[in-house]
Amino acid sequence: MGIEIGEGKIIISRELSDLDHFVLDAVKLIEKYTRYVIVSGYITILLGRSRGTEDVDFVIEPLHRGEFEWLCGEALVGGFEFLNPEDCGGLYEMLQEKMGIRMARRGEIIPNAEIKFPKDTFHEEALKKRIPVVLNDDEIYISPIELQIAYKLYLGSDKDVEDAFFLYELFKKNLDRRLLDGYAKRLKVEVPF
Amino acid sequence: MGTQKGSKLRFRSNRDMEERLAFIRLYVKRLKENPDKVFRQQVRLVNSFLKAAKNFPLTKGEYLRLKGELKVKKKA
Repeated sequence: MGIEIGEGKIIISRELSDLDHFVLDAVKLIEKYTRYVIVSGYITILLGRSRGTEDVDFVIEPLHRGEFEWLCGEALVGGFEFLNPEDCGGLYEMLQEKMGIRMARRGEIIPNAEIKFPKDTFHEEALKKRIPVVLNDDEIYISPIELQIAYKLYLGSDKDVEDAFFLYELFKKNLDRRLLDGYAKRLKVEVPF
Repeated sequence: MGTQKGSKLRFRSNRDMEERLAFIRLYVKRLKENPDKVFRQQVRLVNSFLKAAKNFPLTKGEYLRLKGELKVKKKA
């Protein structure tokens, strides 16, 4: 078991939690239809931070209405449901309006996957420069660590700063400091470590 | 933190962030030194959190309202 940081990828070998199983099931569905990247809190949990989360943030590449309706339909027959009351067409409209939609296992609310189209250039960059995490026999794409640290500092709650510091401590020997400082500058935050 | 000497971190809350970050540094050290043990404990904690969430008291609508995400239907 453990974490290996290789060239352009992170390899994790460990027992999976129920949250990991949920994420892997969501990933297997979403990646059939479009590119995705996971951003925010789940990244730190995936990498070993001991905390809970109620949602996992997915940014997905915009897809056509018909493709989304296939994805939505497959989700519904595959044991998921959407927490939003809209039908598949309505959910697509929400995505187009840059709103997030929430998908959970049928009958449950937590955990849920908050799925959205890119809202800003940072989301677009996270999608474009996503990095693979090999988790046992599966693969999950996450936001670049430097962007994640800067974005967490930008969000600025205690929990977010702690997440940023966790990632910094874990990856400090492998971080591209110039890239991190560049993201921080664009987000108008200071990296205090 | 192992940061610039003499620099003081400023965060929004009054909690002792320096102490919390020191704990995270120690936790990451343990994670690197003994990933088996730390991951095993982490998985138990995450599973326990999700088990507790099975008794989540809110409906889907209430949850979305709490999140400020319940879309208001446009009037025709």
